[in-house]
Amino acid sequence: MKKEVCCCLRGRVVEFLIQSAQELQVSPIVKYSALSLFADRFYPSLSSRQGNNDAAKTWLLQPPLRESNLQLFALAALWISTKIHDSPPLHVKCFKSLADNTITEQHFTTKDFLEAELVLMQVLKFEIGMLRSIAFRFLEDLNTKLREVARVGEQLNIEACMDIMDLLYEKGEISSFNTSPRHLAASIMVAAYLITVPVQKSEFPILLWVKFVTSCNEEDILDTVRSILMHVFEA
Amino acid sequence: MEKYEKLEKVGEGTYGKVYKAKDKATGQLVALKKTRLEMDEEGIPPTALREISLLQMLSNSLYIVRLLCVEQIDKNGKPLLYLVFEYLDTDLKKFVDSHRKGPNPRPLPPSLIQSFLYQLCKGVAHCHSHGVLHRSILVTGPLCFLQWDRLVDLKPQNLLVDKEKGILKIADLGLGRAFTVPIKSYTHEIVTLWYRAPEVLLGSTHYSTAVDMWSVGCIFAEMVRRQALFPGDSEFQQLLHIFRLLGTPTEKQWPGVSSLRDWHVYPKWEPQNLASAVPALGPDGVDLLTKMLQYDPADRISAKAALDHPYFDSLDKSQF
Repeated sequence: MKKEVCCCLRGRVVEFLIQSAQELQVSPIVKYSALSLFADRFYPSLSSRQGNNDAAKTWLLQPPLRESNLQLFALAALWISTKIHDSPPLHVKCFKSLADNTITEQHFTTKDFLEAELVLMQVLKFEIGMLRSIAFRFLEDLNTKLREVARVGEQLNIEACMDIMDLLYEKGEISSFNTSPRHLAASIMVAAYLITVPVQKSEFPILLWVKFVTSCNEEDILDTVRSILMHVFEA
Repeated sequence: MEKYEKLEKVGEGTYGKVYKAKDKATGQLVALKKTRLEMDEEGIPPTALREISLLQMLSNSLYIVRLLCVEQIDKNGKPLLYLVFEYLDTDLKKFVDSHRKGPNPRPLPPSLIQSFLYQLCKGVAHCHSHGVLHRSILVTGPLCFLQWDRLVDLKPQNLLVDKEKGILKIADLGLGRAFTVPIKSYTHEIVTLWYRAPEVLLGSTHYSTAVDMWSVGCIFAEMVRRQALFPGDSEFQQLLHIFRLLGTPTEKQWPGVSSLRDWHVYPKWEPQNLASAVPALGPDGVDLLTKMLQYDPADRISAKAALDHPYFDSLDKSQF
């Protein structure tokens, strides 16, 4: 697998994942776990992986990598997440019929879904225990805490934070920030605050507070917030 | 799987076989746990995914057996999962047995009991902190709720021991069961009877992490006595064993007990002196045991609080 898996392809498939999550009406935690599996872990390892393990033998990963195959993996990531988080989880049928409607390049059978699930797990080396540390969980936590300490917390919408996170995923920036989920959550929180809370109400020292709660470095947070805002206003 | 050389079968559960094996490249000893994946239309079973995810999350504690990796192979077209764990040479049941039977019967050294109990409380505290912290993350349904809470199947067989180094680790986080037993009966299968908390035996539907502390108390007493504290052979007998020693619980002691689903009218036993059941244990140890064996789950000591109990004052905690 070569490095040329291009950025726009990645962005399109991530967008496909986010849209599918919406179609399937999964909870945010299922969506962000799937993004974490697919965009943070699976996709990057495609370009770095040496082609000598079992997963490399599957036709699903034969170069040139087709967009529809990646879409199948995106759905498999959602499938794995719903199995971990939901009880009962969504059936494979839901994913299959979604694929029938939205993936036009080729037709996938239920068996292809089974294979994609296993291949994805193999590529991740079955390491799916990191889910707890994903930034979304920290964001939710920060949001609750902010509501507890300040009335301005009511103004700060978790939806706004999620929109920013989605955007960063689509742009491939989440992984390129190369920061801890805690730091990322803190920065997204500050950025969402700056964007959504009206200036006259923003006397709450959000940066200091976030720094205090997360013990992240203030300068680092500012740096990340700056680049987040750049991406948001580019969009 | 060519990476490992199987040395011997060390166990066989309902879920499959466990082998002692050696990593050919590094010489490291591992325990291989074979799990058949009932691959149907729905792919990898949700229980398997949840449990692997759970184990990997908890494996960063020294006091939980480490899941080194998961290997997936195809055998005659059927996918199998091998869970590769670090290997420890014995378990607490065998270890205690070897002090009761065998050529040289002798009590476990008090300092070792203290150290093992401390490590056990550390491991349990670690599980509980994740369960409590992350319950809402991973599960939503009420059945899985139980699975989360009742994560640890605490009994001496599931506590692995390194004899040389005096290390104790919690193993078998209910994984085998989750794979094979339908979740509904899972709630019933959870704790081996001897270590089962009275609220579970009485059919309470809302357990808390306190059920695990009851098990820890029973294990503590068993290390001291070298035999089980409450060796019941049915749920009813199990309750009678407990009531005979600790007294039949009253509403005053445990508000709500008589409205639990399986509560009956029992003979009214008076509590015995717990110290007489563990004669080798000093007053601090008896006090801690008493706090672990409180009837009302709300009164039972937590794993975290237990770590600060005076019983551990003489322990060199810097080594943990």
